[in-house]
Amino acid sequence: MSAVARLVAGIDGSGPMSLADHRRTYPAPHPPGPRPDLGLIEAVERAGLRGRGGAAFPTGTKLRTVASMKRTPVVLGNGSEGEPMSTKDKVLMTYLPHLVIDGAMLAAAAVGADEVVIGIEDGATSSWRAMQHALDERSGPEPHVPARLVPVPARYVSGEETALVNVVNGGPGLPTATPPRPFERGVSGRPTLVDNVETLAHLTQIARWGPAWFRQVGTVDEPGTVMVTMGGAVHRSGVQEVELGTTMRELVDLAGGAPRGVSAILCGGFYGAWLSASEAHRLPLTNADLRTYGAGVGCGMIGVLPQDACGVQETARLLRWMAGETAGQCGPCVHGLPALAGAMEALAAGTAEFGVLDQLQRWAGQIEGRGGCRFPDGAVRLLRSALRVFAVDIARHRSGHTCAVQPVLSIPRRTGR
Amino acid sequence: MSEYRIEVDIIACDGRGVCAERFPERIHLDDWGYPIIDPTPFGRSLLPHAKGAMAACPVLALRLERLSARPRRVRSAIVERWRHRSNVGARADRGKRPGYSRGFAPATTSTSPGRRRP
Repeated sequence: MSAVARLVAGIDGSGPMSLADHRRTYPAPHPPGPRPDLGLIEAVERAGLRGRGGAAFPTGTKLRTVASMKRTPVVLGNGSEGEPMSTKDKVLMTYLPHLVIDGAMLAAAAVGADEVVIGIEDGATSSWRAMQHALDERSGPEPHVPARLVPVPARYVSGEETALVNVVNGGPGLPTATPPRPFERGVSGRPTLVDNVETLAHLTQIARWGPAWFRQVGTVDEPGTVMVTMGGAVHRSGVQEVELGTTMRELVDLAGGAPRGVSAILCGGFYGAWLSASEAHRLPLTNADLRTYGAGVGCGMIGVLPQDACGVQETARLLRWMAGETAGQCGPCVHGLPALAGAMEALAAGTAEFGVLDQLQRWAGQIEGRGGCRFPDGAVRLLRSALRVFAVDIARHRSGHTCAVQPVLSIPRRTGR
Repeated sequence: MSEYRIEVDIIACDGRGVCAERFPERIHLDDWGYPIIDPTPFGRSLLPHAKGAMAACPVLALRLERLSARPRRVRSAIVERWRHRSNVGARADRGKRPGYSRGFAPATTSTSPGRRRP
């Protein structure tokens, strides 16, 4: 288990891959016919591909569901990487735009869609330029489905699928009430396949090399490779492509090691959970293994907390940032997240009131499952994992201890609102 | 007779809290004044309270969901009981095999709820 260059094999550092170079390896996808292409859906199902945007939903099942809808569907590629510590989607779109666009075209053929839309975060200019150039390259020589790019506000919740659909439909990019989910009624009220851009890139490779090839790496239940973004106190932070099932230890080694040691690992970014160093050490990166600790692969962001940092302080910073990222629509999120952040900050500062832990548990229970989208649930998951992993530190902070250490995880100062 | 459940559109909800006053049997408020719904289904007797809460909500964020009708559940319960009876019968028959726990079989049948009249 280690780094496997499949998607990233095409990156040579000299800029985006051109259509001509791309076509040397990947033949042009068939233009979509009037009916869904069930052969491709079957291949994806046999490959066992799961979504790489965070939810890890089986892509084949999603394709089949959208293909079975009565109205002509739309394919919506999700390149709105709201997770500020993750850059893997931007790297893919910047260097391998055709791998992503081919995936979207194949998905369109698979479900019988007649339109492709790809949402890209505002401010990701190099990704936008590469993708736009890649679409322009195709306008002449190849038959293809009409495709366009849509700018998405640079905020965390805009990457949520109902929010993304909302942007494409001309809205402000906030999550909307479900049901209906996008696969029922999405872009222009039509059934919409929303897939992360990395998932689409894997689709291109499955169509080219087949499901058996896809399954050669990874685990039986979670085959293939995954793009991860290493951050925090590692020697070389940045994007890596690894097999699913690679252990955390190997991931840290791939990033050149952790010069200041490892006290905990944030797995899945803001929407993920903390793991203690001893838990993480030999833990394989699969959803099945991470579920034991309430975590998941998520967006593939792995943040390493060094031994000389304070997990309580880091969690307070993460929660405060999340509180600022609320869409401002649902009461439990609008009021609950600042409450969590405030209590955690008081803990970090050694000024927490007696009974702060009971209060946090109570609020966590009141917030969980009560948002219009799953964003507040992410904050609760992060908090609960922190209470578990940093229990000893929290006990010290409760008795007035403070840590005079520098913050480690790079969190943007203010959000684009 | 049907069963019902009430649901809130939390995005629309303003947190005025009127619903909890009108329908305290299924709605209470969190620390910030937003409704927490108890998903336990309720019958027709509570329907006036539910409808009162729905009508009182200034942003009309409450929705009534009608669950599957009760008669079907009753029928399936009856079927379950019949199945149970026939199983008991089979066990009683087995008990009558020669030399096999003679005192055992009648005890089973007498404690079986299937033999009791409902």
